[in-house]
Amino acid sequence: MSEKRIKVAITLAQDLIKIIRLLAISGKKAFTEYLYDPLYKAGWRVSNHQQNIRKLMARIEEEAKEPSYLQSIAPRCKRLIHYAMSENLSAVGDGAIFFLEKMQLHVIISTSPESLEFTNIIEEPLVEFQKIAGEKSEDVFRATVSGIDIGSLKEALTPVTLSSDAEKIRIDEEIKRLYDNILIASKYNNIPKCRKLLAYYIIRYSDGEDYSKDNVTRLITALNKREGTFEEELRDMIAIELYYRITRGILNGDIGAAIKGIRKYAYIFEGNPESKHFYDIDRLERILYGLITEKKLWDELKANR
Amino acid sequence: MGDANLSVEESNFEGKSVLVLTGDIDAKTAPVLKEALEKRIAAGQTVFILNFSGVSYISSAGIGVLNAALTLVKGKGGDIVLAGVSPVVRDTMEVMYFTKKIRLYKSVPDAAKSL
Repeated sequence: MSEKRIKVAITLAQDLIKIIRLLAISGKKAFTEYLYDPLYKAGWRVSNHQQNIRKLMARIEEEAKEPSYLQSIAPRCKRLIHYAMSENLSAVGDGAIFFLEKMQLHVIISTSPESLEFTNIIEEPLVEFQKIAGEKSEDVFRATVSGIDIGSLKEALTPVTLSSDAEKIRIDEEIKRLYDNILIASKYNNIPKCRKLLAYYIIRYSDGEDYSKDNVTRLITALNKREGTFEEELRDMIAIELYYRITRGILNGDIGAAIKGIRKYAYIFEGNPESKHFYDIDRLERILYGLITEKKLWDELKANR
Repeated sequence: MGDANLSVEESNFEGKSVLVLTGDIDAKTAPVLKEALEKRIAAGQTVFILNFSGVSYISSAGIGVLNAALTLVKGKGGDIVLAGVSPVVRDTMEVMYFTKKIRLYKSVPDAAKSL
């Protein structure tokens, strides 16, 4: 990184969170190597403490709601991670994600020396891990798809159909409730919450019949007028989340989740090469279709559709 | 996996414009298709016959481009239809649920007749 960073971008914080989550399912060895050790070497540790990490997080969470406390959030998060380092790896992961989430809330936190120092320490090793995981994903994906039975593959590729009127009503209500929550967050100018809810809403419902695309577009346009980077950050957030779901699906052997993620990504980003992880996902897709063709599974797959 | 290529040539069938696609449509080449469609839509064209007989592979990136263009032209009262789609490309479109949205025909004359 040649340029000195002055702010932790929301997308960087989100990306690092997703990598830490992937790291967590990759095992203790990788977690230690790519997260714990870099922090330890950078001096982020204490030998003794009497703090309860969970309670400390809950306290910081409350304080983050008070504008007058915002200045102290980053230093307190730094201390939280120091304490977590002497507890266990889960505490380190939770603490790191907690800190990265707080950085997305307010510019005071994302521009603080502690946030900049923290991301400078962990970014390089995490990006290195992501690269390794990406290469590993392709191999794991190839092996998983090769070994998968036709029933599982059919299930993964079968569209979700609403089984009853009651189910449809439940989903309609959920959509409405979620949309109302977005409007409330928008009214109170809670931009990070709007972004999070909208990302969830788009990922969950954009391929459904009841997705109100026009309303979502209007809302995004309005929020983008308040914060010029809103739409770009929202799209990055969605791409990061979907790529994370696809990769997690592959690493966990959950081929269905991976394929659903690919399909959602296709309809949300509509072949826009500027989208994050565009080429990574394309590579995985080629492997999948190649294997289905090689195993002559297309006809069987379509037979029960 | 070699580098994918896609060419888009314009032809004509009984006075109807046909775009003849040849090659693979993936993340690398989808922008070529996107540009070809967007340029014509911007110029006022709303009805398209895409001759897919020379397309050997399509990924979700290509389907995403087609879906966006289809939504756009349908909003203007137009349509996009595909002709000569190979079985493997059709299979991919099916698992991406795209065949529910777009009409596929065996040949360009069949496609032209439908419009």
